[in-house]
Amino acid sequence: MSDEWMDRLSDYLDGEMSPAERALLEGHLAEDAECAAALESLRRVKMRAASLDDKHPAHARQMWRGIAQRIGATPPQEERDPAVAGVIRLWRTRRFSVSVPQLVAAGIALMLLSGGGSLVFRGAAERGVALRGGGGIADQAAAVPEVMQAGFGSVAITRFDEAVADLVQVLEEEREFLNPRTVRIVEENLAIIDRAIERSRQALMQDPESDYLRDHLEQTMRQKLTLLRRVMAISRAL
Amino acid sequence: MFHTLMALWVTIAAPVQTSDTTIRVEEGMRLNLRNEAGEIRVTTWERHEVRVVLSRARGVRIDVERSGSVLRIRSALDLGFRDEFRTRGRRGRFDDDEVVDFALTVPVYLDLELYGVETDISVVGMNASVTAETVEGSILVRGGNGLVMVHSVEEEVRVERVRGRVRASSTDGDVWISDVVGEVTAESVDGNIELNDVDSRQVTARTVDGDVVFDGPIHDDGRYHLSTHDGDVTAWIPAGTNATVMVANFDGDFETSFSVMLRGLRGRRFHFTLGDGSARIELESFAGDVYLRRRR
Repeated sequence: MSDEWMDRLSDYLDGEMSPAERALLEGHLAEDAECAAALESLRRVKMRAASLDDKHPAHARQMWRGIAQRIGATPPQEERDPAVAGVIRLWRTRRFSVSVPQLVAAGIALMLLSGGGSLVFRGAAERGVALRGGGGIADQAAAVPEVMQAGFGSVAITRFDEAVADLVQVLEEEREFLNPRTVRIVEENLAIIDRAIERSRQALMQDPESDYLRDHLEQTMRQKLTLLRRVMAISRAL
Repeated sequence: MFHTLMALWVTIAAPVQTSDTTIRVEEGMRLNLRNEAGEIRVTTWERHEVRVVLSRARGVRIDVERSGSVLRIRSALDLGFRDEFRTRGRRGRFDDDEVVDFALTVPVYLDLELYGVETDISVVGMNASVTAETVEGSILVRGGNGLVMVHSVEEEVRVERVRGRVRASSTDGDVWISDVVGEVTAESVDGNIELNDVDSRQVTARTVDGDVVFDGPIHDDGRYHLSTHDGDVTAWIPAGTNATVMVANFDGDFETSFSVMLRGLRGRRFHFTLGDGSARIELESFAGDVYLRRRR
């Protein structure tokens, strides 16, 4: 599939093509399965990102600016109040110079970080400290792990798992085009990371005030995301 | 400037067929080569030409295209057979008639972008940027100037004698970096990372299941971050280093051959100061030991 069409898929979904261009692209989609698959993936990411934006608009916007910088994408000029820039503008401007693979990866990173990123973990730690400040220390110390599990912590982790599951589902569609040995190795390495994540979670529950453990857990989660993105890039290149 | 499209058809007249062609290039150009299966071997010469020698190229179409400042070379099956290629890929390894070995001789100034799937890649003697990525195959880059970026999914990557920025990673293999001057980022999931004779002001080395070893000078304004989840971290640094060293560990030991006074024992982290404490060194292992040794 040519780069020209790949870069226009976002415009197509946003309804920002002329009728003639739409007709040309739709004709191309009918003949290019790879392009059609990329469009479908982008459509799913857009739907998912839009739903997150509805639930956590401020959070998502802030996260998006960070993600855009990390992937080297060029965000549009913020003509209005910066507070309204971010995810919504991503989907509505043609000036956003980012490729579809980057868009997919960014959307997935957005899902990940808006659900289970560092802000949430730090928020959880602050909440734990605040709880320790009031009431009996022993009682509150015992309650902190529960808060992390039942409050911010479990929500964050659940959203991370959901986001990863979404990405894995997309990759499942590409799985058959990868060498089975490669699939096996990727799965083994994902299992290594998952074990590390689980051990880190358990350790953090034992020592919830540890900055190191919190940072380590976050970093390990990011490594899982990096691996999944890399596999997606490989499968797209085939 | 002209655009030239050349298709080199490799005949099936003999069991093993070679092909040899030379293309003129100039400074400022970039070579982009994709070889799905086989080898990519790059060496250098002083001519303003790229020589491409193919072997084991039975039954594969080779395309060479020059577009502006980019010279593209492909061994992939003709695009018209792409669906069949993806279908065959589903069944596992490439067939023998889909394997091609490329031997390239290029000028040292040519930026390289090399991609493959079941492909070993080696690049020796360059004085330009090198990007090399493969799935099932190892990568060796010896020499480079600018950005050297390498990644293999299944096997080791090795980068040597680079002056510039290095980003090296493997998913299931080791990462070896030596004799590098410049910023270094090294990552692996299931593999060790070894950085020897790395002269840098910015080092990040991170793996999940493996050891991390660093051996190099510490600049006063440097930042060095070595971490692993399940493995040991060892840093060899010179006597007389000026650094604030932060050590983090959940289940392991710390040993040092420096005389230190541990401070700030909190949340599985502690730190100490060497000299005036100007550089920052972070050594982290979740379930392994951390060693800080005096460089020989």
